[in-house]
Amino acid sequence: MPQPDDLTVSVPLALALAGELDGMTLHLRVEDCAALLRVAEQLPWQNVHRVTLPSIEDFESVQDYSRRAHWNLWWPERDMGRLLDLAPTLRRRTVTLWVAPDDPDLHNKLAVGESLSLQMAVPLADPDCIDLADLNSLVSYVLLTGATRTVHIEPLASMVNTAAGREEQTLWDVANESVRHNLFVDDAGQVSVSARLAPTHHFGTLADLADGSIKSSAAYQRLHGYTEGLFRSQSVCSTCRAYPLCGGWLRYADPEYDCEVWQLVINSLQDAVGEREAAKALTQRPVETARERTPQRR
Amino acid sequence: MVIILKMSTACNGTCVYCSAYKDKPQHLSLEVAERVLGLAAEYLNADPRGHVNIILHGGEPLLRSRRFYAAFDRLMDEQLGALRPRLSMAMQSNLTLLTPEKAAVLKPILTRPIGTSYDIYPEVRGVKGCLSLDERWYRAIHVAEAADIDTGVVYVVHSKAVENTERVWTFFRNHPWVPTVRFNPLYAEGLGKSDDVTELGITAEQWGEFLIRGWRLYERDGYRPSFAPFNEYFGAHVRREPHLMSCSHKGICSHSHLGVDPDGSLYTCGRWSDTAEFSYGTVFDTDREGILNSEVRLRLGERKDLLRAGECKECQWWAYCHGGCPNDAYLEHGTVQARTKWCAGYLAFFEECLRPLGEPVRSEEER
Repeated sequence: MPQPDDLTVSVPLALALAGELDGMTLHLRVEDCAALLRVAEQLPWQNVHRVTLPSIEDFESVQDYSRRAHWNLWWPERDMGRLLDLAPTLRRRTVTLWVAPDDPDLHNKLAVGESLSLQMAVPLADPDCIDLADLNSLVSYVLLTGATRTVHIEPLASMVNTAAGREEQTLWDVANESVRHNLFVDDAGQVSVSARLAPTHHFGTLADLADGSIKSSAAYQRLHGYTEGLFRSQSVCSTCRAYPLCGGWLRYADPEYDCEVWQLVINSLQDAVGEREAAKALTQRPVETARERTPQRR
Repeated sequence: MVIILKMSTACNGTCVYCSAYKDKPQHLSLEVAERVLGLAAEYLNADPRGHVNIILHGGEPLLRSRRFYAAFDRLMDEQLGALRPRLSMAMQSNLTLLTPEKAAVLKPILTRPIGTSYDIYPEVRGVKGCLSLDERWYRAIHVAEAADIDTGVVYVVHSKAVENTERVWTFFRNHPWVPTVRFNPLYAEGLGKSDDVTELGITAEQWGEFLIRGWRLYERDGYRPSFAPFNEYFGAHVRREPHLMSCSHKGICSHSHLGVDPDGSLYTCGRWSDTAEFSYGTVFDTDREGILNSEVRLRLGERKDLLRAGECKECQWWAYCHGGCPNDAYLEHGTVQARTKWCAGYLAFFEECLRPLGEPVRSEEER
């Protein structure tokens, strides 16, 4: 069976796959913690490296099942309570608190999370899920507070790191939709790249995954050849300044999508980081020797 | 020592500015290859700490067969033996003929990247045959990637690129399969001399414009893209490492470079082989000693001192240029004892972009 870095499955599917995982790593998406608890003993926890839970409240009941996994916990809307009580528990595990980009308490939650030194993420389900004003204020938050050191606000933290050359993550990676690394299996056993693209991108079934034939599916090929197509056609993305951070993700589902807003945001972020990196590069210059300071021959 | 070895002067490309175009193509024989590798061994034996880099060039080196490269690989073992680890091998190719089978044969030979070419203006570059250059180039890029052979791009800067510097820059900065780029100005050699190319040709001032615009983009990108010559100027001026500049600017090419034609004729570099001037003889009638004492080489070696005492006497940017490429000077002025034709462009760039970052570094020989 091919081994993507991340095979996203539901609890029932993880249960069904338990005997045939053979070293594969799973991202377990849990929609109902009670259902998870009922079958938790039978789940192949040794294969689980990431779990997404619908609520922070539920974490206490299931946290001991996988000590190795990275836990993503949704912090639901209008729920600001109990975090102080839970903070010690959250810090004991590798946990990222997920906040919806349109959560009315977004900034308060980020501030609270930061003050408690908790890792935070604002995952993007689709390009339109966040308003420009919120996006801009998030960028300012990240750049002005240096928040990426203590709080991981995605996709901005990855963007800052990529713009600074510390990593190479585009929105494809941040959204866990990289066809090289991510696969998603729905409960009917249909394989795709992510929940978002599942309705339009069928790579095949679990059986196709086992024999590797998903790679020859039209949907897989479309995603896989997308980047090359952007450059071969010299599309607007190929000469867009925001491309190193976006990777063409914003216009994939809708080539007509107007990403100007995102371009503004990404470019201002790149300007800020570029300025910082340029200043850093210039200050690392060697000190002139006395010999070099002597007048030049004319 | 860098040896530019022409594997063939034939090419499947149709690039309008080709500097290496020959009416009657020649192909390197294994006999010449053996001599060249023997010469490389001579250099390595003479300098126990030395290193030789051979750049397989053309024409198009991938026109040569797998069988030829397999034999070349065996010759490397025979001629170099224990010296082989001190010899590195790169290639300059349009890449379009790279197949998985050829990549498998080349992998043990190539220790450095294949420098390839690409242009966003399709009318400038092309390839013979029914498949387009793009079709073949992308297919080959994936072959190289699968074979774990690194690639980089050499971009010939023409008038359209000067007008659209940001577009060209951003395209390559974004390109997932282009980790490094070297920007060279289009020069008038081979087909580049023809009237058809006049519109694409650039002046020294235009080259300066390109460098200035490119530097602004390099600054904007935090001085990070691995784009030469910008990263080399950053190294020279900010890191005080002018010795890491390319061959055009160090003024030592008569010591550091050698060009070999398919028939075994020896020149200072591949560009001189294209110009077919200043030959040291052939691999059959001379050796390392003969090359070192060649009158042609000594004359080229004097250039630096003559320029420093003459037309470059007042120049503060000497360490960054050394009068530029002698072949450029020859093509423009008919003599190597003149500074590069690009001088005005370089000066404009140095003054506008580098001066604000600090005073020029002095060259090693003047310290």
